[in-house]
Amino acid sequence: MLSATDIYVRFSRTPVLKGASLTARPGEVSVIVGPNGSGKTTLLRAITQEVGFEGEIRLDGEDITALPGWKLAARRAVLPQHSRIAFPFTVAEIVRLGMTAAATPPPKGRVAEALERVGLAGFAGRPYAALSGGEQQRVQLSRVLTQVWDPVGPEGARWLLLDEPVSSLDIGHQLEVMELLASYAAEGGGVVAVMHDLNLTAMYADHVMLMAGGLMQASGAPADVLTDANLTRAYGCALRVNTAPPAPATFLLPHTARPAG
Amino acid sequence: MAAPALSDRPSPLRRLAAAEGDRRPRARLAALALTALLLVICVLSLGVGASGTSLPAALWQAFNGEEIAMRDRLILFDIRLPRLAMGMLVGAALAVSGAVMQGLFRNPLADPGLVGVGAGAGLGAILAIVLGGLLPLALRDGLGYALVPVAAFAGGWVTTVLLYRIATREGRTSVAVMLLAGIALAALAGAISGVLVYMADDSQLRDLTFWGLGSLAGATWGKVLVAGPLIGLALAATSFLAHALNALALGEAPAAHLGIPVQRMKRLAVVSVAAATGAAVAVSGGIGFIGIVVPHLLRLIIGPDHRLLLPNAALLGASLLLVADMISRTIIAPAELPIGIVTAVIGGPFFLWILLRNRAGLDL
Repeated sequence: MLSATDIYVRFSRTPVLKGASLTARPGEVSVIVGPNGSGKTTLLRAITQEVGFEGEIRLDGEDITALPGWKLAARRAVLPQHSRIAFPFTVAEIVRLGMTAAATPPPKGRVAEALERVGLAGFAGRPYAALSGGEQQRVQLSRVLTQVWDPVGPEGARWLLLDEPVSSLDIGHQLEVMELLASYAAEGGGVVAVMHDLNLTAMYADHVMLMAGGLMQASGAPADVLTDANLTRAYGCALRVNTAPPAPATFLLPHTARPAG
Repeated sequence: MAAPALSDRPSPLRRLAAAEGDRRPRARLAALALTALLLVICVLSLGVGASGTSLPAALWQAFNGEEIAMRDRLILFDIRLPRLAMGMLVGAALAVSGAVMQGLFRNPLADPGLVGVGAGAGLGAILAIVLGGLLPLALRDGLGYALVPVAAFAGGWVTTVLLYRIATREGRTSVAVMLLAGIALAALAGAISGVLVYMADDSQLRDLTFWGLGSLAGATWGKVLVAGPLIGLALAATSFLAHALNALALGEAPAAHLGIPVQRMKRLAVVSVAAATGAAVAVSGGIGFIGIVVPHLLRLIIGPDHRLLLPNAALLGASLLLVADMISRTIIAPAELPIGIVTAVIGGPFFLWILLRNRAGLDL
């Protein structure tokens, strides 16, 4: 289990997180949603120790600040929002970087397999810089996958921590990546993703956390969190949650551009 | 020199040779080719010089059991051989330091010269040349000819430590601050050097000019023994950095997420670069561009993987510096052109070429 309790983060005196808490369980896709500047990414960055924070973050009961980097690397992988690579690496070379910390050499063909899982079979020899933004994002996801390939390791569940994993993907690849995350969770791994797309969240999340103003506003099953009232309050615009046949799939539509109330 | 391009082969063969996107076999070929090249250049370098002493002739004499002429022996073993050793050491040190710096700064144009290590070492040398006379006699005599190299080395170290202190806050070293501070420190060192040059007398000026342009002419076994272990140790240390530098290409945070102890690796990188560059500048003066040209050429051939790049950079750096040295010794023989001029004439246009090619993608 991954838990963050009462997290405070300040950027040059401006408080960004004001005591936000989060709990994510393995076997579930946990999604953090919220408007721009609500502190979603900052909360994820506190969990990945990219920003200094006050509060407590525990992975399976262990304080993450006390775990050495190489141990953490075997238990969680992090997908950043943007990746700029300094040198002319090939796609295969980038993906292979995910296995930097691997204790035992991974089997041959892992790189090709990882690329296939994100729909990039045959891209191994291409220069990374020549890919489109969405392709680069999937290469990075593929690298992150190789770091924590088996969803459950000897120490317990492994985690994918993802900052907007589908933000620059077309709708087909968005679904492909969300399916991939769902299957990772189904096999016992943990997934925590910061997302903007409420519809994909409604479709794939097992656990939704709605943030606003540096605090967790609501947390729980999608049906309980993604409600007209919660979303309208958090996003400051009227939103209506609907269901569509045949299977009752939830979808959201903006109601009006004007603030509610 | 370059390994045959894998992409030219038919695809089933290529699959056999390596997984797609894997440039390791190609790098191994390159290493073999570069080793062979270095050996050839070593032999050529021993045979070329102002004196007309011929290596094959001397070897032939030795082979036939004849005594090699005293003069030839002196030239071969006490002049050309230490010069060869020093050229290889300095070339390898500069090329590998450049590659490490570029990896650390995530910028293909970074160079030890950029972060002020070179300027600091230069200031040390100038201080020794101009103000060495003011030192207590015992100290001056004790150091003898080593005074300038030792001062250069100390200058390089002091600059590096200073830079590192400025750029490190709460245990984190900011690469951007270090780069900018390096520019400021280099300017400051340049200003102080300027004042000293103004104060210098004619003979000191000559020393300064020659030292500033760089030369392997002063090579002795003594200098090789001073610089050799330092450079060797520093280069050995960089082999531990290769993994970390690859991960750093993704950025510092992603590297840390991969389990790389980023702070410790940055420290090791800075210390090795300071040691290798300091020692190289100390024995040979300011030789520019090797640190930029060599890694860039290699990245074009074998890709940017530092595990392959660093050893190949040592080989190519050594070869390139020996070639530059041969040119500097022969082009205006019997006089000698400072090697820094040769590397600048080759390296300057090359540097501009890199800039023009990457103009769009560079955001320093």
